[in-house]
Amino acid sequence: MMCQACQKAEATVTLKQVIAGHKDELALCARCAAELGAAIAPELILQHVAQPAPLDAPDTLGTAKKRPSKSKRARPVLTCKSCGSTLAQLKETGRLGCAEDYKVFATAITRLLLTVQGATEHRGRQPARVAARQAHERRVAALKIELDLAIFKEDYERAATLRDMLQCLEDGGAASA
Amino acid sequence: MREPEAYSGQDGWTRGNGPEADVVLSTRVRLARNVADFHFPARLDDETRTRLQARMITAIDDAKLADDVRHEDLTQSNALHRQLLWERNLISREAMQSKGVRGVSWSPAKQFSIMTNEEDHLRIQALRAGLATAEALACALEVDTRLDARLEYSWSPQLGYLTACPTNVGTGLRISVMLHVPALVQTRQLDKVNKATAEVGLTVRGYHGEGSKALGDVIQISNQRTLGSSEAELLETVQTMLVKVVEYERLMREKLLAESKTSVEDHIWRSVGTLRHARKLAMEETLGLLSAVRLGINLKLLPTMGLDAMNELVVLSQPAHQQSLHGKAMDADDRDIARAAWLRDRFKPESN
Ligand SMILES: [Zn+2]
Ligand SMILES: [Zn+2]
Repeated sequence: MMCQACQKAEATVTLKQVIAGHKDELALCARCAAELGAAIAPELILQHVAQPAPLDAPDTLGTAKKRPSKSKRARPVLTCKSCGSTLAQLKETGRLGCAEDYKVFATAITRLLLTVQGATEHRGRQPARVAARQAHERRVAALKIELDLAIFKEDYERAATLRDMLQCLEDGGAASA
Repeated sequence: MREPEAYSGQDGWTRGNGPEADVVLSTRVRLARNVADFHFPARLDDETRTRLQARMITAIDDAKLADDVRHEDLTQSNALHRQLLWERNLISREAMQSKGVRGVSWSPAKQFSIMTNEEDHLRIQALRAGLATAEALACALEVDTRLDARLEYSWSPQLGYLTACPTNVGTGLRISVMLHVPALVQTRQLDKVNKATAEVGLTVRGYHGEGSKALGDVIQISNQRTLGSSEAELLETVQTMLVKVVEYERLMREKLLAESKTSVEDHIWRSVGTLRHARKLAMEETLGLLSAVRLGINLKLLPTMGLDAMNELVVLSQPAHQQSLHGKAMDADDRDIARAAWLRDRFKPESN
């Protein structure tokens, strides 16, 4: 199996990323694994790929030569389904093809961000739609608590009013989202 | 061909004095933004770029950002005119040189420009004379807020505004301040400035952003990082450092005057002499000479000549402006001859 990052060396390590809820698995050569994994070690589980020499593999030069090209096909290069970017292109140009690339190449980008930005979390402003959605969610959550409280107190009249308000809010929120 | 005079006084950042004008030439704030569901510009074909461009221009118009917003399709304008816009900092080198469908919208009155389909879909820029980081940031954020209401930006809760280059992700914010620091250069203190700025995540570059050479004793200080700090924190970091560098430069000017007034005067008057008499002046040499005159004005060693006029001279000395002023395309040699003639006229003894 060839390394999915450089596509030049045999992959010996699997790098599993569990960043921001997005999971993927990369088969990498030792060099790329060290390069990609080192900076974010705590979030990563590195494990050596068991490389069992197939028992039935005849140890002749002829068939051994064919093996790598076969396994190259077996595992496709990590590619963005939206724009077609590959990790090799990202490394070469330093530019991404589309916003999806941030998820697709999260491991490599996280490492890059730690180097050039010294951070991986945004702390600045947010689009109005995001702020509005958050305010909406807060209102819904507050009403739900109030509703629970009303039911607990057996104030069914109040509970009915709250349920109506909640319904109204959720309909409105869904319509504008 | 349009006369550069058509721009003069309209994009006021090249003219006005602004706060701390003795050291700070101008402030520029830039926000990088992308529209959701479109690939970044480099991955878009011209057809999609055209469609997106129309959508962005509609948003800019609907947002009623200013009464005097004009749009320019950079695909249609000629190379010299694009260079003119670049020399005035209205567009980037990339927007000047690249090929695909792209444009710029700008308001001379409110001193902002919006590049469309540059490295990112939108590059919002606010320009101000002097040290005006807070004012420029407020202007850019106001434009951003109004466009946000009309275009769905590419944004993620973890990484903020998503940009084509990970070095801009997060706030997408770059605050750049252009300073004239002849005394720091002469007293060889620039390395100290470089070190101090690097420690707080700022970077020092040359006049047009490239390299670290202080061409014409002009440096540009800007924030390197865009992620992990809020817009207000980035502003605070830049502003705090800038105030210190300005003080440092003034201190070194006093030191120079106290220790070697005659040498300083000699350098300044020789520069005036060259500007009055030279027959050929290349841009790099011109920047050095104008820098010396600027220092002379600030140290009150030269008879009055407004600093704002000096800023304008620097802009107008640049290649595209010279060709535009003289109304014809010229090669480098002819430009140097034309530039020298033009400057001789500006520095005639009577006109001082
Ligand atoms: Zn590799
Ligand atoms: Zn992509």
